[in-house]
Amino acid sequence: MNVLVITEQRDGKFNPTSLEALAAGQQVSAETQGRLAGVVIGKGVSGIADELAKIKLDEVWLAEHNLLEAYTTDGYTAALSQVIAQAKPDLILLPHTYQVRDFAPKLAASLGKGMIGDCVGYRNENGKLVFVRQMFQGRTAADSHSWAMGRGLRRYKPEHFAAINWRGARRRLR
Amino acid sequence: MKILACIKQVPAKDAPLAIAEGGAWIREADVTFEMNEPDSFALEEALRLKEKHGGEVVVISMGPERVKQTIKEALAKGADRGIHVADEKFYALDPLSAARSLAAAIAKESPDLVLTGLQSDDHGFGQTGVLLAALLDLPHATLIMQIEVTGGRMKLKRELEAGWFQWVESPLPAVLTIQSGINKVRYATLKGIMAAKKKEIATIARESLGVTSEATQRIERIYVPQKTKKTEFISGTAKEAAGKLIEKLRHEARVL
Repeated sequence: MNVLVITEQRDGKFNPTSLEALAAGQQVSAETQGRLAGVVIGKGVSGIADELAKIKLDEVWLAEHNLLEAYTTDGYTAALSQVIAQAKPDLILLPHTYQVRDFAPKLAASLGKGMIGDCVGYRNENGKLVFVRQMFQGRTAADSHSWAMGRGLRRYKPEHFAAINWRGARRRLR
Repeated sequence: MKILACIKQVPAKDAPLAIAEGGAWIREADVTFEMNEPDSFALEEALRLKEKHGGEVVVISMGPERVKQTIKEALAKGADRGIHVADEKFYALDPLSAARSLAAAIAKESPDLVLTGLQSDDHGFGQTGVLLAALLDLPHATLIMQIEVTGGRMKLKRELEAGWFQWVESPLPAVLTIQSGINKVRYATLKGIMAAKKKEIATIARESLGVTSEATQRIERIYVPQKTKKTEFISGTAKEAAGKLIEKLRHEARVL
């Protein structure tokens, strides 16, 4: 399963949840023998793209434009749609941030795909990925599966993946 | 201004939850229902905008027959009319299919503004507002804390992480998802309750909207999370440890 992780940066630094999404991406792509790619989006961010290239992944996409300097839903959705059309991932992972909440559903809808948000983990059931998220305000957990041609977006909630993967990611990040 | 407020009926917050047979939903027979609290903030904001700028507030809700009760509650608070998109199996709909159905009904109304709550207390997908904007081809903004309307444009205050806010400008028509706590929600008055009896609730069967898309995701199983115990030692000087503890209580345990 080829995984694309959309990262978020502010002032030249990745936010921690982006690193968790990357850790999740490393795990999923390794388990499913797929490729892992990361996207950096903004203006003047080639430095961070270089940072991204140092961790264990196969490809880094850089989406740069004057109009991407400040976040706008339309700008980000348009730019990311183009990256996705070229990268053709099977699975897209996004970090859990207010900004991602703002554009990710729109991006998913434009691709005609479902988005499973606030994932706190996943299980690999013989190649079928089942994503776990909370429901009823955390009183229950729910297993969700998206089978729309395999291309789905998942948004990972912070902290939860850190516990499972952070150490693994940190080793590779060095 | 014609404002359309999306309100969802959800199991009451303190309702005891039992998982239904098959495990894909809860047992509804045991549960009382109420208006989704985040949507009640959106409805209140809609009513305040109407009071300030004139116009009409229309509420829309999807689900089985019982959601008419939540629509009536909205009418009693001051909404002018309601639309019930009838569907017995609403709980099983994935976010995109649900939004497609709502969008089909909303498009006929051509509203100036569509308001939704941040997310629902049951599914908690948090996508409906943004999906509606995509499907209706309208601009949107999320986590709105303040709305100012002048002419055909809006100035909006959005909440960001870590206590930051952002002001954005947007044209009308648009879709906004409202942050909880933006206002103080009103109670329905007796006069409002009486007036609600005369207000119209139009019922549309979801199938009749002609939305026949395939589901894009499915909840396979709902279960109560397993409890585990873990002890973690926080290192450092007393001051450092206190700082780390506050971080954990705030961001991990989320009790602060």
